[in-house]
Amino acid sequence: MMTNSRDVEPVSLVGDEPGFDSPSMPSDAAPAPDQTVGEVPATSGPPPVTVVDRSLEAVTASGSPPRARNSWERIALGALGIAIVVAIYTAVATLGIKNNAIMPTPSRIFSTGLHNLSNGTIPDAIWASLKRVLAGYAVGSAAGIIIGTSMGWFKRIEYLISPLVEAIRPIPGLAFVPLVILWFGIGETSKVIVIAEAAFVVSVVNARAGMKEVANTYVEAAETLGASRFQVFYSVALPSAVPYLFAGLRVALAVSWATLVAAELIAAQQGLGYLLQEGSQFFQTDLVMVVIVFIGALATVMDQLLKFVQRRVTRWAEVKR
Amino acid sequence: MSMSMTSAVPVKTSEQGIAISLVDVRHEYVRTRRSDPLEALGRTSLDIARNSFVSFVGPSGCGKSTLLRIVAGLVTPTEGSVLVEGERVHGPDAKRGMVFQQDAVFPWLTVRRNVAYGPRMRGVPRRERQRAADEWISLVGLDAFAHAYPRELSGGMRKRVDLARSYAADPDVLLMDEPFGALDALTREQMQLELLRLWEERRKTVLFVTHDLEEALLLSDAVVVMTARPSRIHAVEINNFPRPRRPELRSDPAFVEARQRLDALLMSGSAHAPTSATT
Repeated sequence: MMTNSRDVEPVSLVGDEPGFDSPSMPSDAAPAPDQTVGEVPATSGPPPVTVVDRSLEAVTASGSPPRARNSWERIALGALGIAIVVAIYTAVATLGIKNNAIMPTPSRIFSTGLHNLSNGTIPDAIWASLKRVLAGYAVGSAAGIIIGTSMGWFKRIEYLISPLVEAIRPIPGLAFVPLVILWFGIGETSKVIVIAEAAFVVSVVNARAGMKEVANTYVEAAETLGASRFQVFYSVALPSAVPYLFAGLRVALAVSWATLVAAELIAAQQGLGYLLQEGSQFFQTDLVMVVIVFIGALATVMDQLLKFVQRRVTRWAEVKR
Repeated sequence: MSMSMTSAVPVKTSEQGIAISLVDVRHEYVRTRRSDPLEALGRTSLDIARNSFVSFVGPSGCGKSTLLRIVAGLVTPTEGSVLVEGERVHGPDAKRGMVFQQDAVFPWLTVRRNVAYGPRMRGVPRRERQRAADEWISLVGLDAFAHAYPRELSGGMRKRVDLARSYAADPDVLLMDEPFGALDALTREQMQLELLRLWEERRKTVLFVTHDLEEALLLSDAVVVMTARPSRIHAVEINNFPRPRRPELRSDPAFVEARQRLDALLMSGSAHAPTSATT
């Protein structure tokens, strides 16, 4: 089997093709290999390359591994940045340039925070808001991912839905608030719908972009491995778009929080946005500050959670930075 | 030992049979509405015997890759048709596997799941396809990396995964479009020997596009030399060095001679390039 005693040429040219070049016979005037490599002249200077073993010096010179030093530097500088801003604020507040009711000292903000935490005001508001955000965000981004990925992959779906998406994309989510209130009242449903719409627009755009960026080589490789169009969709396009989907999910989360607070400022009897509104109406600037800090903290925690999940899901991808 | 063909050769039928038939295939790319279409591949007819390894060489930009993609079904030719194992090609299919120059191993799947991808798409039960995958992984010497992700592997190792994956899908023919073109010289040489060994163990019909004449000669039973655009077949060098082939073959006088002959053919083929409209 291994020997090559064939009775057939592996390739046969068929027919007497007019366009077929009359192959030239191999030229026997093949260029002779250049034999004129000169001898290396003996020079008196130092050799061009000298191998030196400096391994010991290299180890002692570099100190701690660069990675660890980097992450310490990062944490320290990040803390420093926050500390500088807090220090400036504290200085301005304690100097009394503005009325303390308008610009409360950090210690006052802190005690207000503790007070409102223990009497249940903040926890209740957080719970009310969190429910709205989670519901709207989940519905909006799930719909966005399903519709966006389908649009990015199936041309007819894209043609069908794209004009609609393009039409609502530039409209700020809050512009729908009056209409939604007229149709659905000022209950929970309205707020969830407004948040869902905002999350949808962001994730649909990202999901579609992710599907369009799928490397053609992967698609063709899958096709020549026997995958059908639909199989390529779920086994190649979807997984390779996952980094985009997560990028969309994270932006959608931020947008959901922004929309929530704005929606609650307009119409709500509870929630963080409502608390913010109340604080400003009754000159409780310290309460306003506390709510702002909590909104920031909650959004950050959720974003970090998402980042954690993202890292687990896309462990296959190149580590960034 | 080797010869260059000077005229069209009639189809010989034997127990080996014909795996691939190109019937009057011609292809042109439409660029813009205003400019003329670019003829990538001039009318070509060619029969390729089953289980032979055939390389295509030619100046860059000639239609070698286009020819391969037409056989794969990734490109529909402007004219003519391709028969593979007697069936007319309509679109890509598991029967015609392809190895690309670019890294085409799925980065989101482990080595094992990459290699098992073809059988998975065909609906082969999990146990069975894993067994098949493990066998191929072992054949390309990656047992220790079955559960690694591609980014943990070197470029050469990923190419092995790619080869194993193509083989595991069990195609009738394997099409390789400069598969080692993006590798460094040393890795490329290793991969050539790897493919040589693999192919000599598990024969398949292989069409192999390359720029590397030595690679073409070392691996194949025949080397097809193509002209510059619009590409046509310029000559066919039948390459009967006995198998199994060893890397030392490269320094064999007959091999060196064949290489020089191919070089000359390639030069004369490029010189025939029409100096018309195309840039």
